Amino acid sequence: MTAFSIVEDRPIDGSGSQRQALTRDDWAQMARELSPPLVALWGDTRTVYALLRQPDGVRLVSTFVEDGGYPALSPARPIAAWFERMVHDLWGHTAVGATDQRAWLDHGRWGHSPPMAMRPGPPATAEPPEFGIAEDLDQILLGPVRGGIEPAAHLRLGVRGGTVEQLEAWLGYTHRGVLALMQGKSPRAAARFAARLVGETTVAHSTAFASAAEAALACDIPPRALALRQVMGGLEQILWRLDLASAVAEAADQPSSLAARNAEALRAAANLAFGHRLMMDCVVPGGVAADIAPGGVETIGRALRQVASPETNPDVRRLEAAVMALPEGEVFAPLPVASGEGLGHASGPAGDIWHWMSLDHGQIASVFMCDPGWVRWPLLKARMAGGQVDDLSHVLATLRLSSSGVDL
Amino acid sequence: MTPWRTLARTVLARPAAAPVPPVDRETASSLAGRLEAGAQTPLGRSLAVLHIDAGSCGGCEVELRSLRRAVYDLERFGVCFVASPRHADVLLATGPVTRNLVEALELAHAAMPDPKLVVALGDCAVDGGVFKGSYAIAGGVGTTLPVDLLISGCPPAPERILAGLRALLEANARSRPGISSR
Ligand code: SF4
Repeated sequence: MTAFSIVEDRPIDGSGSQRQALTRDDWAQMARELSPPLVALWGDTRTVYALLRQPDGVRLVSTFVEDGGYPALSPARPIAAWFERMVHDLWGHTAVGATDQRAWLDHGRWGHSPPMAMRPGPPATAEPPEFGIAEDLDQILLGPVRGGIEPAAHLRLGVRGGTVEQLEAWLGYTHRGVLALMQGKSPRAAARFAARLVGETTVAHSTAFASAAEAALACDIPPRALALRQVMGGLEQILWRLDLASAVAEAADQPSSLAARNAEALRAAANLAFGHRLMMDCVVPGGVAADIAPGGVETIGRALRQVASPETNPDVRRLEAAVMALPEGEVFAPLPVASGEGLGHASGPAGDIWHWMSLDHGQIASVFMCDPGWVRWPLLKARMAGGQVDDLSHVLATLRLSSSGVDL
Repeated sequence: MTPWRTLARTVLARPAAAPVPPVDRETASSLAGRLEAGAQTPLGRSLAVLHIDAGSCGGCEVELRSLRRAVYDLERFGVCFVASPRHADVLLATGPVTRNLVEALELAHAAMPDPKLVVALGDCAVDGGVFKGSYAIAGGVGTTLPVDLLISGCPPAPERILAGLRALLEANARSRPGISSR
């Protein structure tokens, strides 16, 4: 069993826990039980991993893949289905007894399949999966090119007289192969992929990734680096909410210039203080890439006062106080070149983000990045069920789903 | 040092690389004001842009939306977004062009009427960016379609996108007989 620690961007219980390697039987037993709920499921060449939610935090379990398979979690935990399809398409492991075995990420367009298996074979079939829309319903097909400024995704709606009775999403169009690109690299070199999983939550993903590396190597980062991460994360959170307000207003054909103006003021301030409007690549394993620019504290403070409103006030004030009270000292402490395994967390604007990695002499042996998209995409189906087709753009605007976060 | 210098290296206009007037790093509003003045010269009609996510992280879309929203108010300047390739003058793609999206990109391009202008927005779209070498990407819009304009940056700032689109607008106007942007 590997030494394992959980590092949070805010302390919650569960630190110092270890990954439990389960026997096939124990995993099968867990698979039959409804709890604990699943947070994420992923694999590598020989193992599958499940992150489970506990009352006091999370628990990580794993089991070896035997005869190319492992007992499926989807019968008791429907949320596992997309993860199981992803694990199959990337590593070739079959979830035995799964509720859904259709292709997910693999659209039959890659040179080899499964791309991350020990011995990849020829490409998979290029047929789209069977969609389960009932035959007596009218079908509406949307995407992957949807116009507007929307992420690539294919949506199928089964409609009767304007009412949506079924909805299926097929993703994978933005699969860039990030996990494979990260393998064999140092956490420092791989951080740019974590920063580019989801651009709108780049700070949160970079923080979860850096925390995983720091947990794997049992390193602490300087207090000033931690505080700067919190400031950047707080800015990203406010920006996300402002963009949400803009998107919802636009979906209702009533663009809100105030939200857009406030977001612009904050991005301009972030650019001056941290050198990037989205703060991409600013959080790195070991700390932050650079200290806040001279005058940055005042710039951020001014922008925050400008955007303060009744809804954002408590957060804005907290953030302003944090910027004003930055501890002195270093902003980076180099990580040792060593082996270990770690889990990192960040509470991102769209929900919890979990990153996991195992390091072998300073290089990433296996890695996974879990975006809140895995739990948010299924909400689309729930929100649209029984609703009107015309509601779709409003529902999409409120959910602000990212394809790249789950497409990997 | 000026954005114009970097832009000049990255802006390629298919109708004999039209020189782009220098774009200063001014405030967005003054830039917008100049654009507005430019847009009042006869340009025929405005450019209809179809955005395609070809594997973007969403960062380029953040800046594209910033550009479209109040601060940069794009539609006053002769640029509007459309949802169908059949109504699009410009295909504007972001992302490194994933293999899973190549066919959709080709189909959209085929369905466009002339002049079928193509813009690659962001480092990913320019040449694959940090994703170069992945099994899952084609490696930039140019691997799949003839590109008229490359706008680099990760993501490009709104001013930069605006400058690029303006160059395209002017080049497009010049390429139409009897219409001048000057
Ligand atoms: S260029 Fe940068 S911001 Fe744009 S899609 Fe690529 S990684 Fe994201």
